[in-house]
Amino acid sequence: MAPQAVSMQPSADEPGPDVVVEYLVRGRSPWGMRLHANGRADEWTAAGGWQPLVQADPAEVAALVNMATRDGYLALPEIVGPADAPDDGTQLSWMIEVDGSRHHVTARGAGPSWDPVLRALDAELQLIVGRALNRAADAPPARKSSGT
Amino acid sequence: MGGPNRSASQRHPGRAGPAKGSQRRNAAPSKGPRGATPESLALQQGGVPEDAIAGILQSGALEEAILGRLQQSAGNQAVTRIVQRNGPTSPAPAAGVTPANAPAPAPADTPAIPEDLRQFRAAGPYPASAAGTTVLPSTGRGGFQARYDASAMVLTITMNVAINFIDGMTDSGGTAVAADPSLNAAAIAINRLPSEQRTAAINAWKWSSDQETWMSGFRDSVQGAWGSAGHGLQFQSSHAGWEAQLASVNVAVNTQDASITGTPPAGASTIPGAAGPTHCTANVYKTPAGNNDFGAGVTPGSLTSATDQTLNIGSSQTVTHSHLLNQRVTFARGSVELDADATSQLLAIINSFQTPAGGAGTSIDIVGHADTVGSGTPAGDARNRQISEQRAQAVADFLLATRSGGGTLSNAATRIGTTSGVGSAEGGTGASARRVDINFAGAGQQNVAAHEFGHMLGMRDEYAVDPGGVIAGSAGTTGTATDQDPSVSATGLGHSIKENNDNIMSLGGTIRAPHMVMFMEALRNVTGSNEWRLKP
Repeated sequence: MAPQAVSMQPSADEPGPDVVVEYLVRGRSPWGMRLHANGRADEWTAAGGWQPLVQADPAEVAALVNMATRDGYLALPEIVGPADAPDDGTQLSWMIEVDGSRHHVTARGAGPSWDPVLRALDAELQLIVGRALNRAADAPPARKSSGT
Repeated sequence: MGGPNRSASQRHPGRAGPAKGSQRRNAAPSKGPRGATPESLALQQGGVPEDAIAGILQSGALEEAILGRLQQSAGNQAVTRIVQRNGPTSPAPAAGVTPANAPAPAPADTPAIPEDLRQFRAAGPYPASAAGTTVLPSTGRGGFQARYDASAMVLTITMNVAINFIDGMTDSGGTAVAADPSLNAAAIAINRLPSEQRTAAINAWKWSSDQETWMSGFRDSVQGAWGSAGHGLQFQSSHAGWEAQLASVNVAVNTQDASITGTPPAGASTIPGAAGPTHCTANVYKTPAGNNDFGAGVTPGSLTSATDQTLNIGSSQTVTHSHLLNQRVTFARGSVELDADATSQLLAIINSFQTPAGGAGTSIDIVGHADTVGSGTPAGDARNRQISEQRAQAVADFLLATRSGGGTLSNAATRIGTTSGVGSAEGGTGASARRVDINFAGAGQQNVAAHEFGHMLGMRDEYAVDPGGVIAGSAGTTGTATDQDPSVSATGLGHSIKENNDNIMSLGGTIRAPHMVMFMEALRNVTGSNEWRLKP
């Protein structure tokens, strides 16, 4: 993992009980995301720590968790990627809660070397949050009441 | 690497060669100071005063190395004429004494080369095969071809790289999706844009017929950094009498777009003109110019193979970027006192920038800043300058303080060079404008591509991760030996010890003796001799 400033790393605090997905990026560009069962997405940035990001569709969040169960996430080892640790690069830590149990997987190396299950989950997570951001960005501005 | 068409004189820098073609042409201008001879002009251009030469000649202390320098700067024929004019280059024997077995004087333009060295040169290059030898470094990581041309005195290190060009961002139905987790934050920023702006923003992360330009920039970047022309380091034979035998390092990187040729099988290369196998597959993610966010790294593959490593890098990481050698603390408006946050930060900085046992430590320059509030008048500007200087001094005093129970910066007094304030020169009214920069080793920047190439050569990181420090990562604590240190010390290149400094394999861009270790291993490998050292 590349050298980076300690102050710029996502906290290792255990996420709250309603968080069903956590995604932490450590390395040159640390970043984090937490998805709550109700669709709330929080983002961790070096500048602001954990902050609310957007409201996603709770059904899509549930579908992501189901996808993890269906496609074999639970069968992955705790660490995936190349046998010998890369020099520098990014380390990605997943947590997905299934039936009340939290399952952690750490991926090292770059995306192309990951297990296909993680690659598919990664893309789906981005789409869930990205579409929610798109909707918010494209929504017409709320009209102010003109009063009487 | 010296091409086959280069003349003998070009292949023997600094020496007279045995052949007629090795004679160098005088560089004297057609016009010069009155009374100046072509020889004296040439010698002066070479930086050697004529009276000094006369003294050397009269003392009889003209050694081969000096003669070689003179020949390089003035030309063999010129030196020959001067030697003939000024007398012998060795003390004359006592009157009436004839030296026994006195060797026949060598021609002045062919200083003695030991016969075994002459044979060594003639038997090269090493190996004879143009493909060179595939070298697996002692760390088990990295891999490359090596070949030593003993006549040209050039060690060529060849790295063949097959490249996959990957868009950093894809457009999935109008939504940006990052190709790597290190780019997720950028995807979030794009997805916050209204739809009419998103497509253009995503396109900045897509390759657009600029692959050839990138490959050229990558090659220039790493070849320039790691070749002797970039760092000035070269090897010298330590075999008795062979001191003139040098080895400068030439790094040659061959690249090819793998989408054109397909990924080559192990042990083969489809790179046009490349000798030897493909050593590395590179995944190059398109990022906009100036972006340094990509989490670049090298995956070693099998530790018994020199041909299966993978480089992942952002396209804009072939130029230098500021990184961690610049540390800073901020102040409250109008304050010159270190608050609790600043104190905590400084203690963390101290923990990360300690000096390994026996080391001198990285130099430190401290620069204070003030925001622009109150500036614009002579009195206001003077006040802001004073505040910035006082802030810098507060930081210097903290770093210089001796504390019980740790938190003392080793060698602080000798490491802190300058302490200054620049007032509100940089502008701004935010907290970041009210800061003190603590610049280690001149806050040198790092070229990520050059750093990662060090891994491709087989070296591990030298940055240090210390408890309570400001640097995080996977490396060991300050003073820990790296995986390559045994080879570094065994080959007389010093030590490779973890320390946060401006070394290329730490946080900066400077290539020093220990970073020559894989070249040294290769040179010993291809020549079958351990009698090499770094040229003083």
